[in-house]
Amino acid sequence: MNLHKFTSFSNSTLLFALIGALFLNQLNSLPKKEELLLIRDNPFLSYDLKMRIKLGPELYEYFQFLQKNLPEETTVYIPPMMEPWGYTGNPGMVRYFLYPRKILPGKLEDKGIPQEATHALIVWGERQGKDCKICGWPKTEYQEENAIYLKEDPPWGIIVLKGGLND
Amino acid sequence: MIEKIGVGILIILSLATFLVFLGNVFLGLPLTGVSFALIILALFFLFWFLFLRKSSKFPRLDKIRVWLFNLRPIEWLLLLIIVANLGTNILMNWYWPPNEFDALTMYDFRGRVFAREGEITGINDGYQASYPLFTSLFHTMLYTWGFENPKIIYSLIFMIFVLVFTSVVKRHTNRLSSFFAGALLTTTPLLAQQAQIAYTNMTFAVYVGLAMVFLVSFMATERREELIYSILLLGASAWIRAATLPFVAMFLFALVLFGFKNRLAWRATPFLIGWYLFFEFPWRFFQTNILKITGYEQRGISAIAQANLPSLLGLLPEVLRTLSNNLLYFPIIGGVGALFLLSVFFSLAYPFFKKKTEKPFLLGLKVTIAGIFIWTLLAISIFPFAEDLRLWRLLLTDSMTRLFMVFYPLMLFTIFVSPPIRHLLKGLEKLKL
Repeated sequence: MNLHKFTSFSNSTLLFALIGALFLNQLNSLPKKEELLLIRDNPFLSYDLKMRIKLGPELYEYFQFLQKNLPEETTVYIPPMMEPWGYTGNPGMVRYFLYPRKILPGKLEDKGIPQEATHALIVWGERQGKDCKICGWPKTEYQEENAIYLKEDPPWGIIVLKGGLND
Repeated sequence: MIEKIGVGILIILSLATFLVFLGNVFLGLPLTGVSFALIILALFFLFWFLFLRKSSKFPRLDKIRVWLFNLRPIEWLLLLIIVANLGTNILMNWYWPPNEFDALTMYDFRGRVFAREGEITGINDGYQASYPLFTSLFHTMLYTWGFENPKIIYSLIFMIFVLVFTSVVKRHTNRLSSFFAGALLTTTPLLAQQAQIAYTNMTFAVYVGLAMVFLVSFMATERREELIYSILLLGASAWIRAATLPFVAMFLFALVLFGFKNRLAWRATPFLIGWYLFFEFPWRFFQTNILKITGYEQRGISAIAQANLPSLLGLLPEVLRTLSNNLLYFPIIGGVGALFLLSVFFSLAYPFFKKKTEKPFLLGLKVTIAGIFIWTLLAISIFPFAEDLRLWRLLLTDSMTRLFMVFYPLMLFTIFVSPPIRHLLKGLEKLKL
């Protein structure tokens, strides 16, 4: 093969590589069809509904429930950062929705709810059914009359230790 | 003109947020919609007065129409791909508010809290203090102006990225090549995906990536403004992520070497160091003396010292796999990696470059290889593998892949200014496709 033929061959290969790369790029960066249809059908959805779609209804409704009920000057005891509390046990994530409330991260080995907490989260476990073995927070006893629930089976709610709730 | 305006907007965004940060932290000035508006207007006026006032190169509407009618069908197709992808990006950013993990726990959280409180506050752990405030403060800016969703600004940055990059490639090649390069950049999956979320990776890739392209382009053209753009963008990237230092070292090395040919490069080095420290020093001072949070990112050398040799050697396959994924694996980077290898192949096939216009190719190649090498070393050294091997693996594969985006523009630039591609696309142009 002389140099001219080699160059011509390699140039054609390169052209195909470029076109192939562009094609693959486009294929891999296309938006999802369902997402485009959702936007077409609901162009002016509210912020809350959009977040509900992205985070999942169970989690977002719970955060809304907390925002509505917890007064701003509270210290909230949350589950440890581990499965099944990936979001509700992440102090950064909970703080995003509950700021300026203070966050007190819990540990599995905690003997009771710390004194400085004014409220504690009751969280069963994210995306978990009733048969989940390690689910259920807090792990310590609490008085049922101090708890208010978003839903009871499985339980998601708040324990009021001091200071009450918003009206 | 596109390059001047594009770089100008990027620098104005960095400077505005940085000056607001300085004003609030050191002078107690409040973060309000008015303070943001005043500083942005002042900087835009200054930019116009110094750089655009006497310029007569603003494109006129009738000329744009003529330009559009003169496009060939293949150019129309490529332009359509670019416009459609930018349009999709705008749509997604307009529609979805920040909802990704790090956006909620850090970037947007800080932005919301600053807007609510009117001051820089609420940063209370090492994680939140480890990243500079650039993107958070432009979230704050838009929140104080009444926006419900600040993500539209990421579309602006991405659009500027594509336009400036396409314009630089056009100067070195022709319209067809620049459209092709622009389309490849716009559609690169990881970039496209990162441009739709409120993280700092895409923004960092825009600043550092364009800085690298301008540096290599300067080495070919020796135009002073390209060197200035490059330095301005690189220094300002220190305000986006705490990862600019190795690139500053790389740029200084390149400038010192190039200075033997053109003294301008030597004269630029103090400017680069000064501009970088202008962003870096007050931020570091704020971290250590006001937030009093240290140690989160300060593992580096001590982590290596603590690690034992077997565990380091055991990580070698992980490092090689991440590298090969980034350089070869199509789905991750949409072919850029494979094209990078092709560009190396063609550099070997055309070993003797004599024309001035062919220099960017070789320089780009060298800078890219050096960059990847430095980046790998950095990735190995900064993460806390002595403490948690699993975390290190996750960080290496995930963060390193995202941080590799800074090399995409230079890889594409290198390929499109390379002699084989240039000849090939010139040939295509003659075919009147």
